[in-house]
Amino acid sequence: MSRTAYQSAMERLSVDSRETVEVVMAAWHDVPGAVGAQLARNIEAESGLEATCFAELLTQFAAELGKPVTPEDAWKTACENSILMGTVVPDTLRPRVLGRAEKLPSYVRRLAVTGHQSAIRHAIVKHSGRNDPPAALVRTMTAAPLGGSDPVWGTFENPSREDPFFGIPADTASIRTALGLGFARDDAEPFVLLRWRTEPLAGVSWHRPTIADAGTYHYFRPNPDQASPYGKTHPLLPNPDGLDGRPEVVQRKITGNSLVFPYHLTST
Amino acid sequence: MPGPLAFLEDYSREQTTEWLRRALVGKVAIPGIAPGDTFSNAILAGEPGLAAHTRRDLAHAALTLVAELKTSARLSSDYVGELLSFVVGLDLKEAVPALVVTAESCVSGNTDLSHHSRAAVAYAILNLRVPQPPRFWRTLWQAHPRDFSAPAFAALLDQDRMAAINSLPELENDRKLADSVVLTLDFQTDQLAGPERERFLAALAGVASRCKPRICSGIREWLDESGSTVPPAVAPADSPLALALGGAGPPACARLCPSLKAA
Repeated sequence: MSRTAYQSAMERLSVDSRETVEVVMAAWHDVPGAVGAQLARNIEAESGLEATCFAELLTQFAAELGKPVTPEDAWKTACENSILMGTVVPDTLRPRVLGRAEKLPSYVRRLAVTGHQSAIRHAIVKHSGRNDPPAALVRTMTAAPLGGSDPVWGTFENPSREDPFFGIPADTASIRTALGLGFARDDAEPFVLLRWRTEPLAGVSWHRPTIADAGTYHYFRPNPDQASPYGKTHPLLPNPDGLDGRPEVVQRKITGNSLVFPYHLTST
Repeated sequence: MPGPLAFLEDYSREQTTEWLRRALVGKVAIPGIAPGDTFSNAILAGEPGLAAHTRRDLAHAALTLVAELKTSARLSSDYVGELLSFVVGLDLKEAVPALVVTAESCVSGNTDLSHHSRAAVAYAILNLRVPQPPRFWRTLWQAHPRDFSAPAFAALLDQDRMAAINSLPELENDRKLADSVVLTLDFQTDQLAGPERERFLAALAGVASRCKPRICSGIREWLDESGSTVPPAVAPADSPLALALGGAGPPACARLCPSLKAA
């Protein structure tokens, strides 16, 4: 029986490090419904990390566990040095346009740290769906980073399609379900569906997401297809419409200069 | 099922404050943070699920950190932005007095905040919608126009529309500033109707040509985009702008704003 990537990585650890990690993994498994249990399952299922990287991640994890922090904090800190380490998406398979969904209040708050919040929200709602939103709004949106923190996650339906949300009903609950946005449970507020081109940019590459990119986000699942260049979203339960998981990739946080208009708001 | 921040229920008020200080810069794990989310948004998402006393402790923690803005040595813009985003997201109006004091300290030079952080403080006061006297906003504007003029303009527009419009020529020649002002003007305009709206637009068109070039072009670009039919304005012959441009020829603002059609 072949070893999993996790098992191979663990074999590269020192005895002490391996034992430290095994203790925490067992403790996490002991509480089946908790976040830790899913983190443990994800770690064991990860196949998108190169062996040396995986071993380094686990070694870092063991080192952090030696400090007076929670296991979740230790895992989070260990992950920070291993983001964007999944396999690079080849240029020929790079999706032309990526999309992400961000809750409207959250997106407005990001833009309004140095901005008039009511005015920004008003503008975003008013000009949703327009091919040519006002220049002032376009410049405000493109000046802001694509996401709130590194890495930025993007999804798509087909690498050559301009609409990354193709095939998902445009209502808030369906977007949340299909993209696995587990914490965005308040369906009273819409998502802003942002799209951006993945033109070649110096210093920017697109990667298959891994457990390190997900950190302590327990709605993530490693793509079971080892050969795929992409990750795959994990639709939330109950998923009454049977929506499929979508391909997803991660990239470094950059400004929104490559945003594509129109953007849309989901219906609530 | 307990929410992602349930562990805070067991924290003392001091522990909550320290946790919040570290969480806002990502130094501790925030359970429930979605990939790509900001730290403040992740905490805001988990806050409603907390018991009342813990929510009070979290609010108190935020107030404590806001009070520190005035006196702390140079804080990172990221931290200040996340803190103030959290405060605005909580609609924590009790933070406004401390924010006002911080803004006034920036004017007096007693507070060491970056340009971005100063602007963030002023926008937090604006976005928390606790009106401040016009004198407060004018003082900020005059002391640090780069950081404070846009939020000051938005606040003054709420209080006295025409006086605020007449202060547009004082805005610095900056495109980001122009964009911010235009978004505010659009928001304000959409709350007006009929003759009041027309008077407002006409007043804007009338003052635009007295503004510095980027402000002028931003306002006229917005007027064009919104389909407002106002005639192009002409700079007074003896204005500094007209004199600089030779005092003759096509309307000065039209020469600077190629999208305008001549009358």
